[in-house]
Amino acid sequence: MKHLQKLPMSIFIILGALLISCHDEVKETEPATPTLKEEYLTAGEKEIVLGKKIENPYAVATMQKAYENLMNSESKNSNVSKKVGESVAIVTNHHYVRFWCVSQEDRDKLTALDIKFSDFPLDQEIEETGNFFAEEDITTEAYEGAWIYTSLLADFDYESLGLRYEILEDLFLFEEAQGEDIEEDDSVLAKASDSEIAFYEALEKEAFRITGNLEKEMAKNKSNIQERCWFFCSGRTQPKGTLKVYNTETRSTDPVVGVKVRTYRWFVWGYGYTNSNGYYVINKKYRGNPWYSIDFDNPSNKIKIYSTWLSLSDATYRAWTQSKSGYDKTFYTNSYGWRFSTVNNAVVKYRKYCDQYGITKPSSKMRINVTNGTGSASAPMLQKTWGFIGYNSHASVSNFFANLGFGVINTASYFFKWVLPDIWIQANSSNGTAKVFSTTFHEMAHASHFEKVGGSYWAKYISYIITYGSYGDGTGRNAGLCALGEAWGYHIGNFLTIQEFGNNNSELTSGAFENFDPIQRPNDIAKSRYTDANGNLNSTGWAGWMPSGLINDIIDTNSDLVRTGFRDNVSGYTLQNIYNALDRDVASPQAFRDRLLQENGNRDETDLRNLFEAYYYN
Amino acid sequence: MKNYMCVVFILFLCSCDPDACSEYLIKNSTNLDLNLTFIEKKEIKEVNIEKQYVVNFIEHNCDTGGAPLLYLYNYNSIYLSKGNEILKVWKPDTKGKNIYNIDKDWSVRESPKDNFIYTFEITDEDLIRQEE
Repeated sequence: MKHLQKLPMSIFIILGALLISCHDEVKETEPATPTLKEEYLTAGEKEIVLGKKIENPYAVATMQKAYENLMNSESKNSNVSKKVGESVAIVTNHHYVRFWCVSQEDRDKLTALDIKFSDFPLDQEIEETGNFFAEEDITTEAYEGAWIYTSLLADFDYESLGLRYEILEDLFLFEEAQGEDIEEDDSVLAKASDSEIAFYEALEKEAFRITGNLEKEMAKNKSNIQERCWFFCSGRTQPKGTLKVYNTETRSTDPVVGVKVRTYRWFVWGYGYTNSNGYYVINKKYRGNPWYSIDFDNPSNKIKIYSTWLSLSDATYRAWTQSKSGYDKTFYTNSYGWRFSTVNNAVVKYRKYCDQYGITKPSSKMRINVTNGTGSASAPMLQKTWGFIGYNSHASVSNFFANLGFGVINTASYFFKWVLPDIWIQANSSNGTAKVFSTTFHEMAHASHFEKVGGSYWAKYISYIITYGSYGDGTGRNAGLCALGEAWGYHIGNFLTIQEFGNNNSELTSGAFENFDPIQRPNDIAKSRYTDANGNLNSTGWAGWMPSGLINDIIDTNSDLVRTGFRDNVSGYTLQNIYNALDRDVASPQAFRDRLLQENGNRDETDLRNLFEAYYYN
Repeated sequence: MKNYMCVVFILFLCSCDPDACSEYLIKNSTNLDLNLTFIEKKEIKEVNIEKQYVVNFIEHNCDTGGAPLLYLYNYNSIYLSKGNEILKVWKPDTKGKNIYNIDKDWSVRESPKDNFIYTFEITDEDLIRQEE
């Protein structure tokens, strides 16, 4: 216990040392601090640029004016019955509202209630479409929070959220803003008679006319301004469609599974989730063409994907205005949505393989940052580990940073409140589907391991990797813990890639997977794949001091040569046996061997001990 | 933001799955323009190396988890030639200096970017030995 208490401070010292060196370098080379917006742009994101404010046709005051115009009109328009109009009351039935969020938890309060919202105001023109909106051009140090915008029923209990809020406008909507299931539709329109619907149609059209929105709305919906029917007579339609992603390995398209498709038109929100065929149905009917966005928020598979390190909201592909009958999309490799769709699908597949092989699936929703690069990946599991790394409280970490004199307290605060990724994957489409899947499987395998071992174990893991820059030479403190964790990660990453894409996939062939050469520690080669003279990494084999081929040798029934004098004769173990032995107190390959024997009645003990010796873990 | 980047930097270091690269260079220290040919069952790879020149013969050689290791034992033989004249043939079991022996006969150094740079030098002596 004593050494556990000492652990966080040792991490602080290392962090401090890194911060010191980083700080000193920055002093000399960085003249100005980039803003949040600049950081987004550097990460390849495109800014949403808003234009002028739109006069809101659904504001109660506007609707009242439109109502008066209709009732006082001398026109003999047969569709508008003034008698019907007399029975219509223009009242505030919704609010256009904004909430001030100072942390991810604040945003989660709304999503927990299934409230859809926007990061930018809903009553401004969109001059340039993009992926992010920054209300103020400030740095993360200065960042305190952000407004989010939505529309809610007027009788919604705003105080219950415990968030600061502002009602921006009283609204008279014909449909329920947040959208219940269609069967439960209790809106003005749902309860209206045909003659009342005709009146509302005229009312809405008049409201659009007097606010200067009529022509724009007609153009958006490709309707003729001279038509008398406006939206109503063209019918309300429930959007539905299919999302797919291009698979570079199979050269075909796969359904994008479990993601949210969101729709929005004039304060009315709808949503639906894609099923196993990528097919979705929105829970709302629309009279006009809505905006569509695809949110890579996948609650049934317990992941939320973010596009950058800084992102406050989940990765979103915005398709903007599309047909009210639905929107189909295939994400090809040149699309912004390819990397999110591919990682999403890899996680969905991983969870299915977990069921198949008896591996625990990550139980709580994970934040996965899927950035647009190539190379490194990690599973720091910070949402659950930060407390262990951070000496049990955010304040003490902040004080620690502050005491070091770096002034990073606000930055740390930004991290505590908004970021804390569990997994980070670089998934530029140039990687190809098989590599992105392999990396995702590897990192998800760590997440499953984390489920068993918990935060204090993981803090040691992170400590080791920070201390040695990466994997080290296999001799440092906790090297065994790292060796075991990575042996598990690499086995699952490669094994499931072969399951998914076959024995001759572009990432690692089954022949190469089985050809692992153990290297004795200390050695700088922790785990490397062999390359041939053409740069092909997938077809030869791999090597290292990490026993990355060990688990395959334990499970398979081949009697192959591991190294001179050592054959793999172990058999009879399953992947579930392996996973079961990865316990909280098992922090080295040798301890893993002993637990494996203990839990399996010393099955094939001599061969198993001999195999571990072949990997230099006697 | 710079401090924020420090935190991000730390998270990069937390990578359990880091990216690393290696370079494999052939240095021709002779005064002959040479061809280096790798022979496999199905494929032949040829590398042209001008005299007193260094060629990086695998252009992109990075991998997640660790720098790739060159493995040549898949090739039946590797030979040096000048035009149609074969000057030196290496087999996996050739005695003495052998291009197959990455650990022994290639020099290795780390570059500032933490990459590993392996170099195999072809000298006049290599060619003379073949003539013997």
